[in-house]
Formats: sequence, C-alpha cells, structure tokens
Amino acid sequence: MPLLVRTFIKTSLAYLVLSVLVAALLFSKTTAATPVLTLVYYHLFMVGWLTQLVFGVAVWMFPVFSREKPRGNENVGWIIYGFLNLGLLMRVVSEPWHALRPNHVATALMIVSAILQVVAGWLFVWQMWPRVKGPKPPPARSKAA
Amino acid sequence: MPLLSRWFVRTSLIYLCLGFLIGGALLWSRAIGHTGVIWRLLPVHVAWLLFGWMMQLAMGVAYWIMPKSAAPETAERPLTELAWASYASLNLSLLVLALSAAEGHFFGALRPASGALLGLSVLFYAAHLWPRIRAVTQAQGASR
Ligand code: HEM
Repeated sequence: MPLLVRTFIKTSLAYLVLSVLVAALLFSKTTAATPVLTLVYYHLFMVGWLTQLVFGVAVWMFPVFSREKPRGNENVGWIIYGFLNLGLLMRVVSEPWHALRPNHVATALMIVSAILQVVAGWLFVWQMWPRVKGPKPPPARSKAA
Repeated sequence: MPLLSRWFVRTSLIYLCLGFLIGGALLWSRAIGHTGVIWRLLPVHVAWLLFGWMMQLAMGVAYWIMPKSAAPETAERPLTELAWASYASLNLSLLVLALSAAEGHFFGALRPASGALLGLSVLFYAAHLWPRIRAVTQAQGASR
C-alpha cells in the first residue's frame, strides 16, 4: 500500500474515533452547543471518515492511470489530502466558534474551509475520472500468425 | 470495470463535485449570516452526497467486484436489466429531488415521487445483486 493511501486510511480511522467521541458526548448531554456539534459530528463522520476512506481506497484500487504513473499524479494526491483535512479541521473549530460567539476570524476560517474542501473534492474527481475505465482490449494478433 | 460500473462511478463523481459545491456555498452563507434561497438546497446537499456520491459509488464498485455470476457454470452477470433500472431510477430520483427544492406547490409535490424512485432503485439493485452473493471457488476468482 503506497504512503499516500496509508495516510488517507489512517487519518480516516482517526476521524472515525473522533466522530464517535463527539457522538458519545452528544448522547450524554444536551447543551447550547448541541445543534452545531451535531453538524460537526455528521461531517467528521461523513467527510473525515467515509469520504476520506473512499479517497484512499480508490487511489489504491481503481484501474491504473498508466503503466508509468499507476496512480496518476501523486503530488496532486497530497494536495487533496492536505486541503480536505485542513478544510475539515478549520470547519470543526470555526463553525461552533462562530455559532456560539460570532467573530471575524471564525467567519474567515469558515470561508477558507469551504473553499479548501470544495477544491479537494474537485481535484479528486479530476484525478480519478480517467481511471474509471473498462478492461484493456486483448492485444491484436499479428497478421503473420 | 464493466460499462454499468463506469456509469455508476462517474455519475457518483459528478454528485461529489456538485454536493461539495452546495456544501461549500452553504458554509460560506452561514459564515456571512446569509439566509437566502440557497438554504432550500440543504436537503439536496444531503441526498446528493449520501445517495448520489456514497451509495452510488458503492453500487458501482459492488457491481464490478462481486462474484460475476449467480451460478458457477455461467460467466455472465444475471439480471443486468434490473441493475440498469436501478441506475436510472436512482438518478431520476436525485434530479426530481433537486426540482422539488424550487419554490411552488407543484415542485414541492415532487418530493414523494423522488422518495418512491429512490426506494425502487435500491429494490432493483438488491434483486440484481442478491444471487451474486455466494461462495466463490479459487479458480473462479473475482470478476473483472
Ligand atoms: C459526504 C459528504 C457530506 C455529507 C454526507 C453531508 C451531510 C450533511 C448533513 C446530514 C447535514 C445536516 C442537514 C440538516 O441539518 O438537515 C449537512 C449540513 C451541512 N453541510 Fe454537509 N455533508 C457532506 C459534506 C459537506 C461538505 C464538504 C461541506 C462544505 C464544504 C458541507 C457543508 C454543510 C453545511 C454548511 C451544512 C449546513 C450547516 C448549518 O445548518 O449551518 N457538507 N451535511
């Protein structure tokens, strides 16, 4: 398993633990922060865990891009990883902060977080699109045979 | 990857693009305290990402990698029409849901239709995949 894939999958597991801890907190106590923490929990789970796990497994298992570059451009893969996680972490901090005490820093963080996550998603699609392909046709037989 | 899997997976990637875009727009709106018409798209954001992206991707990959045939003697995927019908009704359901976000009685009334199509889609899909879930001998391997 390449390093990029391992990093995606291990980070996704960390988010799984974190999201379930937030869920446990939500189950145990209702506070003024409950509605916004519920949103944080949904996105830690669906973006941090599931989407990130899918990104890692798809980079690993989808049909290869080419023989020279089986997984496409790995540098773009690292940018996707960085943007998705930075964006999600910014959201996890800024959304509750903004909900409980609106301020300019939280507003800016939310906007940057939105841009980073959208760009990460789009870069992933751009990278994976050519790898969604059918099996190679069998090599043509030479006429002499 | 077989043709239908390519359709499922590519369509799921499109929903990832659109679902994230709506999510990003909603987050931006929340940040600046905007409460406009964009919030009508919240259910579309959720359905497009849960069903259009996640579920559709899983359906495409499962169609590809599950044991190909229902019985060891055959090499063809069975009931492929059902799987295609599932693809069509899933995506029709997601488009109808987006229409239902528009203002007006007519559009609002489309929501149950979207739900029914989604239900049909997963029924068709389960009926297709059910017989393919069986023990595979080593020689048969997974399907290409
Ligand atoms: C697989 C990916 C995702 C799933 C399954 C998902 C699912 C959800 C769900 C279930 C809700 C709650 C809806 C409700 O309260 O009725 C929600 C709300 C929201 N999501 Fe997502 N989401 C995903 C990704 C994203 C991304 C990438 C962004 C931003 C870039 C985003 C931004 C939002 C926003 C802004 C809200 C509304 C928050 C509010 O009410 O203030 N989501 N999403």
